[in-house]
Formats: sequence, C-alpha cells, structure tokens
Amino acid sequence: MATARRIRTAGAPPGRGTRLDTPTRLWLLLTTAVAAVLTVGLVAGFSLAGRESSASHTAHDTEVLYTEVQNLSYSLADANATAATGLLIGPQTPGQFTSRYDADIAQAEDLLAAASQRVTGDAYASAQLKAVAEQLPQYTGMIGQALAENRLGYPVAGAYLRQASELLTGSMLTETWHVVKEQQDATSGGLGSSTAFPWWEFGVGVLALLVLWRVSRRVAGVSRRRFNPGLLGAVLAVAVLLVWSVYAAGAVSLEGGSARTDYIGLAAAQTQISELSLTEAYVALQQIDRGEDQGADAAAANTALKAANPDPGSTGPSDYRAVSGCVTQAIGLAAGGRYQAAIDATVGSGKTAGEGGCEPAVGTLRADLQKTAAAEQAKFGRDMSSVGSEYAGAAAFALALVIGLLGAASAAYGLNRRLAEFR
Amino acid sequence: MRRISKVLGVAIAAAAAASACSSPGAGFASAQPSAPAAVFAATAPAATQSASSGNCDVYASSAAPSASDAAGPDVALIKSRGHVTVGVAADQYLTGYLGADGSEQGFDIDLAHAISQSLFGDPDKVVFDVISTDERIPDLQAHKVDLVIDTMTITCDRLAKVGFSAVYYEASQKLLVEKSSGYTGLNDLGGRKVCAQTGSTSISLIQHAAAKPVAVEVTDISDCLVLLEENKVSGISTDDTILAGLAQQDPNLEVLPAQLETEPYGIAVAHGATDLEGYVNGVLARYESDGGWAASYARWFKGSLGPASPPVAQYSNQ
Repeated sequence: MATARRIRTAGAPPGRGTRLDTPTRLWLLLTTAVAAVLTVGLVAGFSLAGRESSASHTAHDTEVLYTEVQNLSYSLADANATAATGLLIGPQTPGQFTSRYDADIAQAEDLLAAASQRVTGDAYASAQLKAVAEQLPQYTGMIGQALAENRLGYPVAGAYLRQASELLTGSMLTETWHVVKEQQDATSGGLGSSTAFPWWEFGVGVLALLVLWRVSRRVAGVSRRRFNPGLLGAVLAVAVLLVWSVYAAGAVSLEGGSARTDYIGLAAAQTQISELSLTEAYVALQQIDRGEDQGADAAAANTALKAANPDPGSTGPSDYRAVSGCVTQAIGLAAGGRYQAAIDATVGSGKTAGEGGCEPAVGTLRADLQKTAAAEQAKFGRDMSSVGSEYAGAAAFALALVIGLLGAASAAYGLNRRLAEFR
Repeated sequence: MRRISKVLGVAIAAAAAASACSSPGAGFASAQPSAPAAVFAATAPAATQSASSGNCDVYASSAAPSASDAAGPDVALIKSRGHVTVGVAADQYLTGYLGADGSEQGFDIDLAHAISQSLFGDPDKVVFDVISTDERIPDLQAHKVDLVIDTMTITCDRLAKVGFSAVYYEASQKLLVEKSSGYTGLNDLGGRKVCAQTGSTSISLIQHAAAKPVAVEVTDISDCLVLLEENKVSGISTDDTILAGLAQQDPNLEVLPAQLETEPYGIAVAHGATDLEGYVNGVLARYESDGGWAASYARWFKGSLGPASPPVAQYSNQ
C-alpha cells in the first residue's frame, strides 16, 4: 500500500487522473496495448493470407482457365485453317491435314470439358461455353460434309466450308473470346490484388506503434521507469509484422511485375497463334470463294496477318516476314484472279502439295510462337510461385497471428508486472 | 419457224415491258394476275424475257459476220499479241470452274478454246482471267480482257456499255427441287422458302410470284445448295445452266422443266469493237454448225437439262 500510495502521489500528473485510479488506468492501458497488437496480428494475418490466396488462385485457377479457353480458341481456329487449307490441295485431303484437324477437334473437346467444369458458378462463362459445346458438332458435321463433297470434286464443298467457317468465326470464336476476355480481366485483377502495396495493413501497424508508444509513455509516467520490457516486446512484434509486410510487398512488387510481363507475353503469343490460324483460313477461303466474297476474305486475311505479328509496330521477326511475304503474294494472286497460282503459292503443287508454298514458313512461325507461349507460361508459373513464397505460403495467416499473440502476451506480461506492484 | 417465234417473242416482250413500265412497282405477275408466272412462262416462254430486256432487241443487237472482220484493228491486235485474254468465272460448275487439275473447264471455256482455235489454229492460245460478276464490264472497258464468256445475259442496260455477240445459249430461269418433293413449279411453293442469289432477277421473280413463296437471298449460289440439302429451303431459282451444275452435285435433286424467264447469253466485247464482235459471231456460227456446240452441250448439260439445239443467230443488220 505504501508503494501504491507513493506511486500515486509521485506519478499522478497535477490536475489529471482524478477520475481513475492507477490500477484501473493500467488495466485500460494493458487492454489497449493487447488489442492493438492483436489487431495488427490479425490484420497482417488476413492480409498476407488473402494476398497469398489471391496469388495462388490467380496462378492455379484463373490463369489456368484463361489458358484453357485461349487454347480452345486456338484449337478451333487451327481446325478451321487445317480444313480450309486441306480443301485447297485437291479432292484427297492429305493424311497430315486430317490428323491435325482431328487432333484439334479432340483437343477442343477436352478443353471445353475442362473449362466448363472450372467455370462452375460463373453463369456468363458457363453459358458461353455451353453455346460453343452445342455448336461444335454442327461445325464438325459441316466440315465432314465439305470433305466428302470435295472428294467427289463438287464445288458445294466450298459452300459447306464457308458455312462452317462462318459459324466458327462468327459465333463459336466470338463466344470463346468473351470468356478469354473475362478470364484475362480476372487474371489481371488477381495479379493486381496479390501484388498491391498493403496500405491498410501498413496503416494499422503504424497506428498500433503509436498506441504502444503512447501506452509506454503513460506507463513510464506512472512507474517512472523509462522502458517496459513487455511493451518493448510488443513493439518488436508489431515492427516484425510491419517489416514483413513491407518487405513482402516490395519483393512481390518486383516478382508480380515480372509475372505481369510474362502474362502479357503469354497472352500476346497465344493471340498471335490464333490469328495466324485465322490468316490461313481466310487465305484458303479467298481462293475457294473466287471473288464472290467481294474481297471480304482478303481483307480479313490481311487483318489477321497483321495481328499475328510477334513484334507489332515493326516489320516483325524474320519468320513472320517470311509468312507475311508468302501470304501477301498468295492474296495478291487470288485478288488478280490467278487462283491456281495462288493455290500453288499457298500449299505448293504436285508432289509438294500440302508441304510447299507458305506451309513451311507458317509451320516455323507457329512453332516459334508456341515455344514463346510455353516459355512465358513457365516463367509466369515460377514468378507466381515466388509471389506465394514471399507471403510464407499457406502458413502466412498462422505465422502472423502467432507473432501478434506473442506481442500481445508480451504487452500483457509487461503491464501485469506494473499492476502487480499495486496488489 | 423458231426465228419467227423469237421475233414474236421480242415484240410481246417489248409490249410487256411497256406495260410493266407504265405500272410502277408492278412486275410481270401483277400485269397478268390471273395467269401465274410459272404457268404462263411454261406455255409462252419467249414472252417472259421482257423483265430484263427493256426497249431493245437483245436477240438481234450484234452485226453479222463479214470477211473483213478478221483484218479489223481489234482482231489484229489480239493476233499480234499471240493470245486472246478471256474473262471467265472460276466458281460456276459446268460453265466456268477450276477442275481438279487446276485448269479452267466448262461450257463457256469450250467456247473460249474454239475462238482461240479460230484465231491462232491452237485452242490453247487463250489466257483465262478469272473475274467476278462485278468486274465483267469494267474489265472490258479498261481493255484488261478481250472477251467475257461468263454466262452473261444480254440486256439493254449492258448493251449501252459493252458489245455482245449473237446469243450463244438461251438459258432459262428454272427451279431446282428435291426429286421426291412433287413440286412442278413456283405455284406449288406458296409460303415456302425459295433460295436465289442476292441481286439476281430470280429474287424479284420469287417475290412477285402469285403463290407468294418466300425469297431467301445468299451471296454465292452454292450456299443455296447447302440450304436445300439441310432442308432449310424448298427450292432454288436461277439460270438452268447453274442449276444443272448444282443438280449434278446431288442426285436427289432435279431441275423442273417449267421456264420462269429466259436469259440470252452472249459473249461480251468492248464497246465499239465491231470487228471483234463480227469475228466472234463468225466463230459462233461455225461452232454451232460443225457440232462443236452440240458436243459441248452434251458433255456439260444434257444429263441435267435434256437435249437442246443451239439458238438461231439473229443479227442487227439482217
């Protein structure tokens, strides 16, 4: 009691603390300090876990779905290009073309099934993919009819191909691109939310430090001891959480930026592969329609060709320039009414039919774009994995909470020692 | 006798055209409301040519051949060049299309080879320039091609812009339907869909038919065949030469004999190239008399359209 009286007499500032006695005030300070540290722990835990979860969801779900629908778009476009080009060669479509077409359709079916399962709960994407799934048999039916008529040498093969192509480009690809766009936005959003600076967490941490500093001052005023070891421990815990968050944000910002660059590269390469296939299809259609399309096929082929440039804004790399030169020549020949010359320029003639003309150049560019896409995909996966690691993976929430609890316990211990002096 | 009937037909055509002109918006069917077009056309085919003929004689617009034609400036220019350039189609099965070997084939193509044979003694001294329907007249006017042989109907509008040979084939607008359909003409297709090419005379013919079939328009006539095979339309209307090409691709289809409107085909030359026009008329006369026309017809059309003989040539200066 003597100590308590001494402390009260010596520590109470003149004119202040008249309503609460010192133990009560110390209880309040203890509660405030514990609450502040626990709040920081909880906010840090939720924030780190949320961002880690967002990074993981982006890497393992959103981006995977995006890649699936983007690959679906390519499979459909390539199937159409293969069927159209195969028709140009002659009545007997070469085996490598029918195999490639079959593989494209099989892949499209697999991707449709996988993507449809993944979009469960997304009514818009589900509806779009359902429409594509319903149209795919119609498309393959018409292509089958076109190939059968072509074997008999009947020009109606071109009409079936045209109708199938219109269904594919006018409806199926459009619906797929809607889902691609939706998932592209979702991936960008996921990247943004997982790599953004945690201002909320940072603000709560700084506020908690201010509270602890204030509590420390009050305790020092009451006890005339400059430092309270328990409060110092709490400050240390909050500081660790703050430094962790800021460090993780800095590191993630770098890796997230890298992942974003990879993702842009991946999206560009995938789009260019699809545009290359569309170019092939329109070039073939121009030669099949023979002027009755009023130049629409040539215009569409030129537009797709430009979009297939891996280095837009320049003449493109050498493999693109080879394709561009070859395809432009074929389009020009067909526009001038020299259809057989255009066919020869596109797919070759005689023994090289199907392997000559623009085919080798197109094959090289396609392989290069696929390599680029695969490399960007791998880099994106690595960068997103690093982003998750910076947040300490799935243990982020528990770890932050433990640090917060330790800090809160430390604050409680320190203030309890002061309170013990009054008992 | 045939010539007299044609001259009579032209007179009736002119009268019908005048009737149509005096009743804006009224087609042939509305001028003869009690006689549906298909039935009327079947009984009096020559009269239906009025719809596209206007106030000129499309059957006798070309000068008779003369010995001096071969020495004319346009013919001389072609001979000095060593080949004749002919504008043709590449997408019209049986008239002008690319065969599996990449060569031009068809009824019109045979005619081009006959002209080359006459000019150079070699049927292959001909360069085919594949042109679209819209390019035919501009390409002739720009002298990009010497001739156009592309199922081109002689009309008064076209005669104001280019010259034409005598009629080398008198096509008819007909109907292509399923063999098992039981249809005999446009009158049986009331309320049903009939397909035709956008901008063609068939569209207005369908729209003005008394039975009121529904016209379905497509850019390429092959698309009509797809629609018919998919049961999305009940018939196709266009020139019988084109219908023959479509019928040959599907043995379940037949060209109905009823004629809806006649379409006299001519070989087009640049306006004022009268020596070339006369020269071509001379080749045509020989081609029709020496069995060349009949052999070509038998090869391409006889199976689908039945037997036919070449049209009797009429000239403006006879």
